[in-house]
Amino acid sequence: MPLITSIKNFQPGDKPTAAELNAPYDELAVDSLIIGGDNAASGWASHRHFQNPIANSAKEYENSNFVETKYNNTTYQTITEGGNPAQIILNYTPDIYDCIRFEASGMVGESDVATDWDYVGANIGKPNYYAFRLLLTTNLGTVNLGEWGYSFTTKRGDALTSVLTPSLCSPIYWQPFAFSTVYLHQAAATLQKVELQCKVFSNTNTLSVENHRLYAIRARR
Amino acid sequence: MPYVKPYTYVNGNVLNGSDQDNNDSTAKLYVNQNILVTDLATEAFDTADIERGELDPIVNHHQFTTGDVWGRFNDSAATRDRSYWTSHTKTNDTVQTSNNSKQYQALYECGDTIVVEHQGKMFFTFGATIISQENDVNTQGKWDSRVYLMVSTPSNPQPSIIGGTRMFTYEETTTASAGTTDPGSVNLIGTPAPKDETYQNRRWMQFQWMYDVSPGVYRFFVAVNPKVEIGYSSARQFTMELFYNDFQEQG
Repeated sequence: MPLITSIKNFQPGDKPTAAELNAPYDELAVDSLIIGGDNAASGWASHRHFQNPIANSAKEYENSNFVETKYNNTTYQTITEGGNPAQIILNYTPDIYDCIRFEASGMVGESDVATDWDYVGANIGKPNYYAFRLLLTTNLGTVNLGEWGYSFTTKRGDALTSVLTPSLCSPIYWQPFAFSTVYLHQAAATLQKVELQCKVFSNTNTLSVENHRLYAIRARR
Repeated sequence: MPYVKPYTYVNGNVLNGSDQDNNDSTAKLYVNQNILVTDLATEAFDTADIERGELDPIVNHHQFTTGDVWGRFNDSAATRDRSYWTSHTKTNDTVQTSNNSKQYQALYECGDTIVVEHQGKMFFTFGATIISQENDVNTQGKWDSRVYLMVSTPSNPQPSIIGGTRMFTYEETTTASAGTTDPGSVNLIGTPAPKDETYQNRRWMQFQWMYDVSPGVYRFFVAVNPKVEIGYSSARQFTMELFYNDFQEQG
């Protein structure tokens, strides 16, 4: 509501007109339909003032099973345990410039590592790599929300005994992973789902994924 | 409903006292207690209008109102901020060296008591470097100290482990479960690289977790079940966020 400003300060001897007397009451009658931030103190609203839905909300997928699933795919594949894909069905159309915060975490188990170094060509060091990503699917296509990479072993340059016969370094078992990103919704679309996916660089290595979680948190303006 | 003016002034008419009082008292009644949700403009308010949570510094309790965030971190370079633990605080030598005992110690600055007003979800983000430093005196001691989120309530004061958050501070490189082997001393193909111990041991531990809450009081904290003689954490980061509804409710 705009602030009411049509109040005249009458002085002794003034003869008020009907318009002057009516003005503040008429202004209140009109503006009281559009009460807004100018009329409220900071921090005035608490939970009891809101109907559902309120500003922030969250949605989750959790797999708490301590069951390992193995992946040696070199292109992204959705993590799936017990027939349950790691995904959140959103079916949600945000307002333009709404933000969605996505978070994922989990545990890498006992991966089977055969190659953590390649000493020739453009792939030097790359076989040690595995990665996760979050893939958002909308009614218009897919959006890659980011890639988060890890190493299978403790391999470093100074760990090489020979560039011709590189030794295999210690695999890192039971390594937790966690990452997050923020998606800014800039064009009209319906968000259908978000998935947690993984891949390895070399299919000679097999990534073990144990319990894992995926969260979507909406932050409205 | 919006304010409706009871009396309209007309030029030349004598102003009646009750008409004037009626206009004023109706305005006072509306402004003081009759503003309804339909009187509020669409998208006119932002987060600055929403009440913040409250901290009671005496008991360090937090009360959330519309959903809030609480967290803290410390400096990874400051050794004074390390949170040490040791298995020697356990009841006896057998328990100290057991791979199954569950006597825990809370990590500093990684917990709080929360007052929840409505049904909701509490979201946790935790990260720390957790290091198993010494395990030499008692050679039977294990190395895989475990870290997890725990919760207690007034009706269930004995803290319980939230199993999905379980992590290992160190796991050796064989396929067997962690035992008495020092980090880096076993390698799948023989002698480990010199710095394997450091790289295996000093790894970042992290989890995110969402926990359903009902109105009431909760105490959450991250704890370690120590199995080594000296261990510590640094660069601890811990946040708790409360959400009073979920995506489904918005339709």
